[in-house]
Amino acid sequence: MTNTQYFLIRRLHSLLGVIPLGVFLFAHMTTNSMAFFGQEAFDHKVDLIHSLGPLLPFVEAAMIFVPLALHIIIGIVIAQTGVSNTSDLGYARNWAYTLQRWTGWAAVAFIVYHAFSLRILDVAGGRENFFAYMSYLFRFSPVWPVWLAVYLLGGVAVIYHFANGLCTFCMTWGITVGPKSQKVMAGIAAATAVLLLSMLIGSMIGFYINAPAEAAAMGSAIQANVPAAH
Amino acid sequence: MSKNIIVIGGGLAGLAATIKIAEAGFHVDLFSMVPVKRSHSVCAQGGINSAKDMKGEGDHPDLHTTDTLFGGEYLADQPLVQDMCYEGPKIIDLLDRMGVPFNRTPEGNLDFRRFGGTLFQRTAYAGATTGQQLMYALDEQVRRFEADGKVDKYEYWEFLSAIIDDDGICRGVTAMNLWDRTVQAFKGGAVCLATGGPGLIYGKSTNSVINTGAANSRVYQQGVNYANGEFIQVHPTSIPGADKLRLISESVRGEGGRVWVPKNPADKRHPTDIPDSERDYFLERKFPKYGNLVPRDVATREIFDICVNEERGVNGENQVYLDITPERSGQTAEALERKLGGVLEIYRKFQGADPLKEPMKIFPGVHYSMGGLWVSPVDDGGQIKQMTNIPGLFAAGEADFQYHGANRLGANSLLSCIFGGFLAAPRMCEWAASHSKEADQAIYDRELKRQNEINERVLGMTSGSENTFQIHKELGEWMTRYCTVVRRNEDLEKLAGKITEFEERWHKIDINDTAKPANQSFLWTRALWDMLQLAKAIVKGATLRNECRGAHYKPDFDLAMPEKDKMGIPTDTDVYREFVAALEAQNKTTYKPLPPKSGEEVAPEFIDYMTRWVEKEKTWNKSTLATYKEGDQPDISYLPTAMTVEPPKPRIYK
Amino acid sequence: MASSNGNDSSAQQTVTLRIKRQKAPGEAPYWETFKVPYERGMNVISALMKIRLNPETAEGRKTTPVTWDAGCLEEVCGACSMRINGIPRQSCTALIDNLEQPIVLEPFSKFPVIRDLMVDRTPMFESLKRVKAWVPVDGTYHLGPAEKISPEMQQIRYKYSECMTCGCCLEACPQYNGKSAFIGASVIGQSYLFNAHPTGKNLKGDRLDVMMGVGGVVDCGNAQNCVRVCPKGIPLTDAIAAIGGQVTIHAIRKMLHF
Repeated sequence: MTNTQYFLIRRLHSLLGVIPLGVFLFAHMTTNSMAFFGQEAFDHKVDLIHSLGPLLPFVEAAMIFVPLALHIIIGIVIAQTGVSNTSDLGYARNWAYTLQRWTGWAAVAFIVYHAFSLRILDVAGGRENFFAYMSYLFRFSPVWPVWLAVYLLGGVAVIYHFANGLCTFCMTWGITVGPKSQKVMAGIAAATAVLLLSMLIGSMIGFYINAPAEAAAMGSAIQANVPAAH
Repeated sequence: MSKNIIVIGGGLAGLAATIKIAEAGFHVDLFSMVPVKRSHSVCAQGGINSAKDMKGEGDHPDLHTTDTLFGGEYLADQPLVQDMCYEGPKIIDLLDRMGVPFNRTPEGNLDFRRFGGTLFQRTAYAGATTGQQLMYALDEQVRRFEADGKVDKYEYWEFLSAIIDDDGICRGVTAMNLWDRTVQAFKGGAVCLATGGPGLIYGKSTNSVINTGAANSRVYQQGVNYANGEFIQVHPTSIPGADKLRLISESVRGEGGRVWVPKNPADKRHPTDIPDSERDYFLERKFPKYGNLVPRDVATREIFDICVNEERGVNGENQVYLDITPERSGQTAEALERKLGGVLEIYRKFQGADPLKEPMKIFPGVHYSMGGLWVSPVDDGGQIKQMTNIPGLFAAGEADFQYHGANRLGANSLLSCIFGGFLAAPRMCEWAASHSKEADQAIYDRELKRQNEINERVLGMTSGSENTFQIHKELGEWMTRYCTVVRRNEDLEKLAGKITEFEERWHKIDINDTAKPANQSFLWTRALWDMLQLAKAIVKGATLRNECRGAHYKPDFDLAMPEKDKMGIPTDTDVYREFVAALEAQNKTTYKPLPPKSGEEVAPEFIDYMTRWVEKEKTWNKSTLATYKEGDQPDISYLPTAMTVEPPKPRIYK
Repeated sequence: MASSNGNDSSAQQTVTLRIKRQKAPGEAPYWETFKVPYERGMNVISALMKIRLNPETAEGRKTTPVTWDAGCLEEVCGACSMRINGIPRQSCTALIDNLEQPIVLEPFSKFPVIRDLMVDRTPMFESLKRVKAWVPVDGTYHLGPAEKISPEMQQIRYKYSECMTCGCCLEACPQYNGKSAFIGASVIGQSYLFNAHPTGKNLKGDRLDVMMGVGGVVDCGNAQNCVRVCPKGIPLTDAIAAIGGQVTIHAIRKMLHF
């Protein structure tokens, strides 16, 4: 591998995390947060996305799945090269470094589960059932606290990974050079994280409080359809 | 093989020589006990002198020469000093081109500051870590040659001996890998020792822990003469520590730092609470012209005198204040930080106090050896500049002896190191080219065998009761006590006896460690023996030199210069020179003094003083030459000093 | 027993050190504890010096003196690096009064141990060769004065030029280890230093080529431990970010061939 190739791979990883994955994260969280305002608002957003029709799979592949897969694969390779040492050097940025790796792993697990169950296995039985399905998970599932925890922790991991990634992106590309600008960027990233986190929590609350009538009954349907999903 | 040249030591002198040699197309084997980037030159702080006259003061290399000769009390080699001072500006330009981050004026020119022993701003500097910065620039250039295969570095290798053939010519070296103790013989068309000074003989000094002087001692024991060993510079300002004395650069005074003690020795107030009227700025009081920037030997003696003889040290201890606070130095804290950052940081880190807020507490510490291996000052009659009396073996840097006389001026050492290295390099190349005949392999094998035998002997020292580090500690204490600022013959004799005792104790050392890798106890024990040999040369030189000159001060032989107002003539010391010339011309045998041409009435005290001074010059203006004698005190002889640039005059800084 | 509080020196009669030792390269490490008399103002170096005056463990067992690397003892040579209570630093500036006891001394873990606390830091110097950390002067003969440099640029360069190649930044770096080829902060700082010199920048392309490749600046994980442990306070992370920017431009130029 030439130096230029290696450079491009590393920079690709860095760039993908922000564009398109960061952009997608925002879009996705915006859609989800509509749940707070009720199923209609949420479904309207989802429909809007699906208005792309037959183009959607290609857009999704180009904007989400392929970048995500690349980001994950390169990320896993990168993670192999580090040896965390926060026990001796408990500096804030050293923790940020270590957490970036931990949250990376957590995010991979969560995203793979999340996408696999909803898009591949289609445990909800079609997009029109997304809302009811999420409501079921968070409210009616026998193990609903587990689902709450999975989505909250998975979401937090993704958000942290993205927010800290924004900071390191700016360092890596030489946008924030000195400690001052890096501090400002950390503030912006923290604000971004808070925004995303409130969207996450808002959407989860939405799924819970705005649960449609059919949500309670979803459990048996899911178990009958796809027992492996549980 | 003649294309290979060996340089021992990777400090400024060694690297300077290496660069020039590699540039000339020869291959260099560069040996160093430590990675060359860690050589002791990094410790130089304040700057490097060169009369570039970039402050519009009318400075000139001739004035630099005069200051250097005067500062060294006319013991330095005059033509060489002159050459060095003329090369100074070119060396600065070269270092600048190599990327040394010298401090700048607002226009972007090199900035210069004042140093001791001159009235000119002649010292270029890079913060207060100039030595480090110069070292790094040369280290980088050597690395460049190394990457090109023109230099091979042997780091963590210690020099053991020169390999001398049956004609007495140096043909290479033996050296030992400090990590696995293997000894190897290396062939070289010429060898240069750039191995620094022997500060560790004094135990605690401002020197790095590698400055044992062992390499110098090893060739001294092989027959190289050791010159002017008794001239050991004690730096006026250092901070005592449990492990060493840390240098506080002369540049602190160059930037306005003032030395003082409370007028009332019992004054227990915090120094910042003591007003100027109750401070004794004793250097400024005694030397109105040079003030705090008198040469080091003078400042050291005054501080020593205040503390030891007058017992006026701060809090009754051996320490005086050095005040570089913005209020007293007249510079802003920001400017001081920019110009002195490195040294302020040392004080903060080790003393836990901020020199910009309160005065530093300092005391003199052993710093530099003006003396060293004798090398020829001329290219003449079979002699070659920078070459020792063993043909093919050269020396440069603090390891040689001829640039600083009896006292080195601050910021001249970096210059002399680079100049000496540059001077040696082409001569070494020429020597190697003209002595290209392959030497007999037997001489290498013979020396290798000898060194391995010494190692075996030292490694066998496991049944004694003495500790090698303990003997060194005591040696340092004795040397510091009796052979530094003030020297008395009865003390020196006692000291010589003590060194003999240390030699006896050395044989009873238990080295506590016979392991192969990095066995520091074993290495130290070998070096300690060599330190003792050099100590003997230093002490005997000091004992025999019955005069006061520069750093060598014997109160019993002090001419006691009459007070200025009793002199009856101005303190412009050139008048003395005319006086001496007249005196010389008049009567070469009895030195009947004549009054100076000024026609003024001369006080009888002055005539008396001058008479004795001329007598002293006649007797003692010569270099000490110690020749090693196994199992005995060294032989001491003397070499006259060339006075071709300017005749001496009494050294007055008032 | 000694307290870690240095204010009361009368109470502090002894200093306790736990030292991780190793007899030879590749051998298993072992620990020994030493007690040495306290002295005002002492540092880790002077404690080690006291041990060798009487090489005996705290249990009174005779042992070999501890081997360690040292040079100037005033933090300009970079020799005496070690891990002190887990932190990579220079042992000369590690004052006993400021350290919790027992003071734990370990050799650097990222470099091969030669013996006890002494390690082989050769790779750092080799890296300096890779990035051509020098100014390519034509020769040492007289070529007149160098280019003028603004005081601001001098101050920036001076800071980076203080790097002693001590290795603390590498020891602290989670990305510098046996699994990665990362070149480390010090060398990135040196690349920045020479790229900022009017003549040094003639080799900027060569340096950035190294910085682009495996082990170059792109392998930095932005943990920023380097800048926290650097004994000279060198703004290494500034250099990392700046070189990151330089590398980006360099790569674009290279790909577009202009």
